[in-house]
Amino acid sequence: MNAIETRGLTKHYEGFTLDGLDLTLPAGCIMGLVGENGAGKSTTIRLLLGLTRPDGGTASLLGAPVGPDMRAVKQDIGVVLDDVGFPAGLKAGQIGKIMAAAYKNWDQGLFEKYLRDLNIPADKKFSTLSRGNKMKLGIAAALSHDAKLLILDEPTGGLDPVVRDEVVDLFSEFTRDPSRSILISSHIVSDLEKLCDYIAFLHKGKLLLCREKDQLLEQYGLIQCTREELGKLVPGAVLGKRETPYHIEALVVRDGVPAGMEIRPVTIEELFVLLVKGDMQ
Amino acid sequence: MKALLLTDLYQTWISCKFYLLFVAVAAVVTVATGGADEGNMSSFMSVYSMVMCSMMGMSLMQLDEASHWNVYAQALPTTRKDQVSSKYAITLLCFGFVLVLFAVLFVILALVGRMPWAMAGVQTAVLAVLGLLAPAFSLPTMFRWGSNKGRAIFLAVIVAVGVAAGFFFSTFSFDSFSLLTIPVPLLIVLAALIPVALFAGSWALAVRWYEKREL
Repeated sequence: MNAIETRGLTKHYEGFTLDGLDLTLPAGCIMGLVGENGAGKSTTIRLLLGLTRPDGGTASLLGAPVGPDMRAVKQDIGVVLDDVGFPAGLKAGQIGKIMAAAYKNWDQGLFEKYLRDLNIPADKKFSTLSRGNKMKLGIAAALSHDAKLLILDEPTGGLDPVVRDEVVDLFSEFTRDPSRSILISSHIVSDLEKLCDYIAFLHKGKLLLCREKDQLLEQYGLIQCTREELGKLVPGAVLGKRETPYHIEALVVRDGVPAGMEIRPVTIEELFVLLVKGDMQ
Repeated sequence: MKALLLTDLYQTWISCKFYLLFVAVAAVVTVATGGADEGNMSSFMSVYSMVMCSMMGMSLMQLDEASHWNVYAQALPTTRKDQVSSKYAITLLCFGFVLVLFAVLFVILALVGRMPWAMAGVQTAVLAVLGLLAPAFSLPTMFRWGSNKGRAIFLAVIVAVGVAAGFFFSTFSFDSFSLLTIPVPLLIVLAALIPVALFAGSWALAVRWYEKREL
């Protein structure tokens, strides 16, 4: 069973269209959703959670179709939204009680452990917490009811590098159980690189590519060359490039580059930036 | 639903405590002045208390929208119907509290002879009509278009009911109620039935509209 499956998922807004999104996240895997602001990451997550209705296509979570009544499947889904969204006047303890009333498998002890481990002040109102602490509280709530699928919209935004690292470790720990999966969107591509099995690139509402991370890193590379050298490469080998006064840096398909030309490994961030630049050119 | 009700109860206590304080003060003023000044002060206090408390569902939704809890709550194992029902339940709870409180006070004032029975009945009926009609019209609007438009409709209904009540009481004196052949308790029941039906219909409409709304 796939944790997430979308087929032709489409949503129109004024000035933006999420265009026929086909995504498959196999159970037990982590998928990173990468894209610039306005690429459609949050729209995708909203569609998956049934917060907004699609104009076309279908989606399913843990085998259940996305629709108006998803109470049963949402018992198995943990969610962190970009702005978290807990009531401003409530404290962590009260939020824990609300979650206990919502989820059959709520583990209060585990929630309190996360509060301690992540240094979340339990005696402060949600509105008075820092952005980082708000996010950590959202993550603690999402991890405390034995979810099978986590859907996370920018969960590491606002966290300092040390806490971000801890949180990424928590997510890794979560997927040790092979039945658990994560869909995570983030601007901080280095976090996704550490964490994800699959990477999906969204750009202007379109899926540029969705592949296993290792496959991407094996298939693509970076070269530094002159304009003339670049011109000699086979058509289709260059997916994107950036020019400096000294040389051209190009994202290439390794198979399309002649032997002897030095190919440097590409990071997911470079891959995304150069793919988007290639698309714009 | 249980989680949403719990949230709304917490929010009511945290954010709306001063409403309860006001109602307590209004109750004391009603007892102190009841029957005097042709009951104007007790009418004002009871109506104002009811207006404030019947806004509770809307105030809670405004808080939800400000913190985006209305969106996050839909990521929990709940439905939009649950979200609407919770706000209606809290509105009914506050309505019931204010109605029962002031009805009891009016009965006490009537028993000690400081307020005519007819006046006590009519004031209770006005409270019942006002407390149900205003949210009945405004809550569906709020769930369809957001709390700001809901609040505007709420105020319009309050003004309309106020104008209608003003016209009614300037046309008919309390003495004319004693000429009615219908017993006062039956009049109260009849006056309350229409708003009750409208309130129930309003819930169904609010559920329908909220299910269509893009969050």
